[in-house]
Amino acid sequence: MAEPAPVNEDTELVARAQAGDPSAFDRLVVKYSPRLYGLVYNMTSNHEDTNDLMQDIFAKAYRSIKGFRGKSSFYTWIHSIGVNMTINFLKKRGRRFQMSLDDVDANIQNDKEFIELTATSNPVREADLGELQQKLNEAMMKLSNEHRAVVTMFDIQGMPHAEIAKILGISEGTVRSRLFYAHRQLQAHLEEFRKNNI
Amino acid sequence: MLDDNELQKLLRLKRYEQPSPEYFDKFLNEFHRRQRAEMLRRSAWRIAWDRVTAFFSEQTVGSFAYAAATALVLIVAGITSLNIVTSHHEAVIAQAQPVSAQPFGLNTRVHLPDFNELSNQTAHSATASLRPRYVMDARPVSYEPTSSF
Amino acid sequence: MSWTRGPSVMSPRRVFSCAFLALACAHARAQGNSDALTQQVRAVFERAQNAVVKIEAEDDHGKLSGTGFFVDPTGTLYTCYSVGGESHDIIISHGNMKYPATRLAADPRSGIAILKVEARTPFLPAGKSKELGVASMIMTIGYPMDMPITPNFGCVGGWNIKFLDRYFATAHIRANVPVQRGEGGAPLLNMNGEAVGVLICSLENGSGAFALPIEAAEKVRSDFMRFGEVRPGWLGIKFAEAEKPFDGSSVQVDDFVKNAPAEKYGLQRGDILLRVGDAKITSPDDVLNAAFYLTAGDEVPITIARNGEKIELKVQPAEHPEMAHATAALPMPPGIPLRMNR
Repeated sequence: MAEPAPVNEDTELVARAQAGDPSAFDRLVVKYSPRLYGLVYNMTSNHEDTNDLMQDIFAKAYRSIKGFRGKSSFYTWIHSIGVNMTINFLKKRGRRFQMSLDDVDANIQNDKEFIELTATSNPVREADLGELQQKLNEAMMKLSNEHRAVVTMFDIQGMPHAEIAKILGISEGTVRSRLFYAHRQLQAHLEEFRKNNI
Repeated sequence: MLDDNELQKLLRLKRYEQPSPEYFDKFLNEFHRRQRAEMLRRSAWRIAWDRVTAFFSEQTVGSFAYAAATALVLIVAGITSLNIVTSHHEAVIAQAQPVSAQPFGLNTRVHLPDFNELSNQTAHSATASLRPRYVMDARPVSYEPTSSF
Repeated sequence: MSWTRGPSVMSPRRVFSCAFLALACAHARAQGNSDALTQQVRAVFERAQNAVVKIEAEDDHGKLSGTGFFVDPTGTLYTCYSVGGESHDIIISHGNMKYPATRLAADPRSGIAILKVEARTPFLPAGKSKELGVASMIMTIGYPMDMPITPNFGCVGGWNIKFLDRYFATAHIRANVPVQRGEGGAPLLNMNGEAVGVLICSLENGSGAFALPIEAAEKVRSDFMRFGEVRPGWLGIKFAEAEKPFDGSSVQVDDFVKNAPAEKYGLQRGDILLRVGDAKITSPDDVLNAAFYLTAGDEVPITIARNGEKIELKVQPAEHPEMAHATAALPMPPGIPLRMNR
C-alpha cells in the first residue's frame, strides 16, 4: 500500500477554508499577496491598478474556493486567476504606461547581480543602471500582454517553464518560444537606448 | 547588444520593485472591508433579481414575451435594488417570505442554506438536550470604567 | 319657540337622567378610547411581529434562547450581547423556518450584537428615540421562555445614564413594560411600529427594562461597516460643575487629560459646554451620553461659551485609550458567512 502523500501547508489551509475557517483563507492571502503583487505589477506597471486587481483576484479566489478540487496546486490556481484577470484588465484598459514604484526595495543593494552590474570604477555606471531599468520598463510595456506575462513569470519571478505552462494553459514549447521572441524584442528596444547613450 | 544573460539579470532585479511592507499589512484589512461591503451589496441585488423573476414566473408568458421583457427586467432590477439600498427607513414591513425555492424562470442558480438538513439537526438536538437558558439579564454586560470623555 | 320654556329648576328625574346620560357618554368614550388603544396596539403587533425572531444558540454556559429583530431587508438583525455576542451555532426561527446566522459585530460596551442571515427578510424601520418623552406609549414584542411571540405594552419611565451607581456607555431608555426571560434583544417600539430601542436588561425582576436607543445600535453598525470594529472617540476632557451656568448648561471644562484632542483643537479650561455634535448639553450626564456617539477620526462640532460668548469649534476625537483595547480584545467577528457545502 502506497504511503499517503505529505499534506503540505496549502492543502491544509485550503481544506480549512472550504470548511468555513476564515483565518485559513486569510493565511493564504498573506502568503500569496507579495508574489502575486510582483506578477500583477510587472504586467500593469501601475500601483493603483495592481492594488485593485489584487483585491479582485483574492475576492474571486474566495468566491470560488469551494469549487477548487485540488487538481493543481493552490499556487498554480491562484496564479492562474491572477494572470487571467490581469490580462483581461489590460485588454480593456489599453496601453497606458506610468512610472515604476519610486521606492525600490533597499535589499537590492545586497543583490549579487546588482553588485555585478554596477561593480566598476566608473561612478556613472549606477546612474546608467537606473535609466536602463526605466528603459527596460518602457520596453516591457511595449510587449503584448501575453509576452509580458511569460517574461514576468520566468525572468522576474523565476518560475519554471512547466509551471508557467500550467498557469497559462499552454504547452511548454509555446512558453519557450514566447520567451525567445519577447527577449529579442526587449533587447532590440534596449539596444536603441544604449546606442544613443554611449 | 545586451546578451541574454545580462538581460535576464536586469529583469531579475525588477523583483525589488515592491511596495513597502506596510502595504501588505493593510492589504488584508482592505480585503475584509471589501468582503463586508460585498456581502450586503450582493444580497440587495439578489433580492431585486428574485422579485423581478418571481413576478414573471407567476405569469403565463410565452418565450417571446420573456425575450421582450428581459431588457425591462434588467432596468427594473437596477432601479429596485437602488431603492432597497437607499430607502432603508421608509420601507414597509413586507410579508415574511421563506427563502425556499421559487422557480426562477431564467435558470438562475441561487445558493441557499440547506434548511431541511438544518431543521432536522436542530430538532434532534432540541429533544436530546436540556431546556435552554432564557435570556433577560438583570444587569448590563459591562459598565463604563471611567467618567471622563 | 324656545325649548328652554318650562320650569327653571330641573326635576329629580331629569337630573338623574342627565347624570345617567353623562356617565354613559363618558363610559362610551372611555370604552371607545380603550378600543382605539387596543386596536392600535394590535395593529403595531400585527405589522411588526414578522420582523421579530427567536434566537437559539450555545455559549460557554450551554444552550440559550433570546429574541432579535431584522433591521434591513437583507437579513441584518439586532439582539443583545448576552444572546448573540459570544455564542455559536446561532439559529434564527421565523415562523416555521429556521436560518443559520453569523455574527457581524458585537460590542459589550453598549450591549448590542449584530447578526446576519442570508435571506430576504421583513424588517422594522428605525424610529427616533429622542422623540420619546416620559409617559410616551411603547411596546415590545418578544419570545418569552418557550412561549410563542408575545406583545407587551407600557410607557417610558425616563432616561438613565446609570444604574445602581454604575454608568452605562450611553443613556438608556427606562421602559415600564413587563419583560420576561427570553426577551433579551427584543425591539422597543413606538406606536408607529418603528424600532426605537433594543432590550438590554430588566429592572426589578422584570417589571421594567432598560433599552439601548436604536441610534446607539446604528452607531455600532455604522462603525463596523466602516472599520470592522467599534471606534469610540475620545476628547480627553475632565469636567466639573460650572459656577455660573450658561444657556442652561452647568458643565465646565475643568482640565484635560494628557494629549487630549480637545485641548489641541482649541478648548480651554473654564469653557462651558453647550453642544456636542447635535446633542444639547445641560448636565454632565448629557456629556457622557453624547460621548458615546463620537467616532475616532470623525470631526465633531462642539459649541462652548467662553467669557459670555458662544464659540463653535471643530474637534477630531482620538481613539479612546482604554476602550480601543477593550473592544480589540473581543474575538474578531466572522464577518464572512462561511457555511459552505462540501
